[in-house]
Amino acid sequence: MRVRADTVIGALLVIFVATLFAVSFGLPPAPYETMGPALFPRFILVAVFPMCLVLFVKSAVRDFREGPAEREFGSFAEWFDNYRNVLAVYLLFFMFAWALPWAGYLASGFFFLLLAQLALGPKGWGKVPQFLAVTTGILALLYFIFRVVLLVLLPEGEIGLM
Amino acid sequence: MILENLSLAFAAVFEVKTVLLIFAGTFAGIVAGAIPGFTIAMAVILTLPFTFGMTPLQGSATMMGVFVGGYSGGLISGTLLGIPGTPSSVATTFDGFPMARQGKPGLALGVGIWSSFFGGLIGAVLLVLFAPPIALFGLKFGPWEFFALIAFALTIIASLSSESMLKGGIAGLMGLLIATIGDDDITAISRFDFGFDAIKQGFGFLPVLIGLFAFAQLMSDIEGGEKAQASLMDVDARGVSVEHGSAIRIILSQPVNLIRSACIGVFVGALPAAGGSISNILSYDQAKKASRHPEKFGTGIPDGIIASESANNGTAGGALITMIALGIPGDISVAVMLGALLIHNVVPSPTFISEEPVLVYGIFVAFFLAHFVMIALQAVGMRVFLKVAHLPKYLLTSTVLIFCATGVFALHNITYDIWTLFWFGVLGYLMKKFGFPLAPMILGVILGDLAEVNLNRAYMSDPNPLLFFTRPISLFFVILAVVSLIFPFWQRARHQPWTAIFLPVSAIAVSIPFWISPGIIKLAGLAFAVVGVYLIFKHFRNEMPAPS
Repeated sequence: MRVRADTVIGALLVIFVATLFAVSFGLPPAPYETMGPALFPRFILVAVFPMCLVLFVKSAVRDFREGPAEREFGSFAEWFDNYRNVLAVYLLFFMFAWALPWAGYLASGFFFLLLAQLALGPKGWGKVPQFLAVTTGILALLYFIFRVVLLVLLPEGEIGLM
Repeated sequence: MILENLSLAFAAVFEVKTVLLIFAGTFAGIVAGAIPGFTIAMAVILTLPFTFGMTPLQGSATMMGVFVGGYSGGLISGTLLGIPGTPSSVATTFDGFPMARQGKPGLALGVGIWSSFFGGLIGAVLLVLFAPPIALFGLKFGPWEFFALIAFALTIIASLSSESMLKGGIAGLMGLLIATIGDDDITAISRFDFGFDAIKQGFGFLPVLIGLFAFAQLMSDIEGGEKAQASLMDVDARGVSVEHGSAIRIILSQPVNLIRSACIGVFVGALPAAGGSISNILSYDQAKKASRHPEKFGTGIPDGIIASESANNGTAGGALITMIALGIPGDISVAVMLGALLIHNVVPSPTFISEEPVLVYGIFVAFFLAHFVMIALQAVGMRVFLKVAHLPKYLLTSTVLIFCATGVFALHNITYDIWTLFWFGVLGYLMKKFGFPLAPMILGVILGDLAEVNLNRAYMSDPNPLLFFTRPISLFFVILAVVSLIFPFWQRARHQPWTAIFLPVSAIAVSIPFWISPGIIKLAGLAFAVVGVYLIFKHFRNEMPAPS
């Protein structure tokens, strides 16, 4: 049976909060006269647990009474078409962050900017020179602001591309 | 003393470099405000990295420019397109857009811009007048009072979550929980790191804030395949020229509307966690109720534009009062401003004004000056702002993301902050998709440390929890927190009998802290109690059957 998103989120939150509450008992006891590292998180967890439970129960009751919610998208292809840009940007940003320490700021930044424009922008080779120009211009500006003006030590990378 | 501080602050702010920075900040704010979906908070976030190399005053002055520019920039797209640039300009569209469609876009923009200006100035005056005494009052706060104030702020955030109070509450508490991850400030014991060394340092609140906010916003903009290739705003501004003279005349002919709306803005802004998105609607509603011709509201009359725009710029002044005097941010954009000050080792608190008078008065002066700069820029740069808004979304998204990543990296020179940005970017987008408001979580993250430190201090001073209820100021905030939690239920169920006692009981409850306070303040308690008893009396009188 297909359930509402809130039912799943509520259930996951209940499990998550209960897990953290259990983990909090593994924290060392309070040194000196402080209230200790576990007390404040436990206050929060105790307050948020019933709220997560209410979210889950309310949504589950709706599932039971009204049946499953209407599908937003008819097929996976439709869903993918709607979210492909978002997925592409997350993937590219992940690769940018992953490549940064070894490829360096300029190389990883160049590929991120160029590939993001290729993925999201108008299709066709005719736009590539424009994308390249924009990428180079923005990177040069960022490098100038952060490295030259603000003296930030941007990652140089291990492979010498900078 | 005040005059001496003001003269020193004037000298510091009116340096050429600082004035130019205010110009740049205001320009950036107006542009960001003018682009629908590109909020003031985003503008402040993007400006933040530029301030790293500046002195605290220069950085704060630049931020003031962005702040003021952002609040006034939102009216451009709201007036010309009917799409508010920021949530604080929603009510501007009610009359601004119809007026523009009636062939008077120049007048609509003029009334909006000059109402922003006058509203902002009123807010600035109230900021200068009220921030020092509130800070003085804040000196009486112990850890109990600060903790209760933060609890009150969080309840307001949750209850103002338009989507769902339950989800707002969960988001706010999860924000507090995120702030506890990593080393505890007091005991230095790491919490919830699950064996990952990197997590022991916790999550910097700026990467978290930028991730949650910027990613969620940008990703929503590029959903839907080819939509990423469109621009955020599509309007031809070639024929638009702002009518300044007639706009000023119209505004000055409605002084009550102007002052009332600006004061509403300041009051709402000064409340922790309330902001321009509420004040513009509230003041519009009040202007309509007080008007002799309420039926004309929404048809394109200047009254509505004046109410909305003077309120939202007044909000900026109000939000700064709470931040400067108590160190509690009013809304997300002020929270980022607070972050910017912390980066410069400036910590707003009740002692801030006495310890850093030149900086604080410099912020006041910069706030004033930014309004004049805003007027000048709006007068000459309208077409430029609209041109920037023509940029396609795919270009804005990729550029803003790499800019955010570079700015976040520059905070501590570690890639861990970029990963924090990324993961919270994923979380923020998912939260937005599933109807969890972001503002409570962001403010929870910011207030989390402050809440825990104050709770710990209270515990170390005296572990008796009853002190939260026996100290008058602390009790006052606790009662307000309870009232604000019940308030949304009261609003939704006003036809049910129990709701009739909510207001009188609240008034009587609020009177209690005044009763237990020493001195003449007890009279305020008496006033609240009298109001409460009167409301009960009025209710029962209306309930009684009429004599036959």
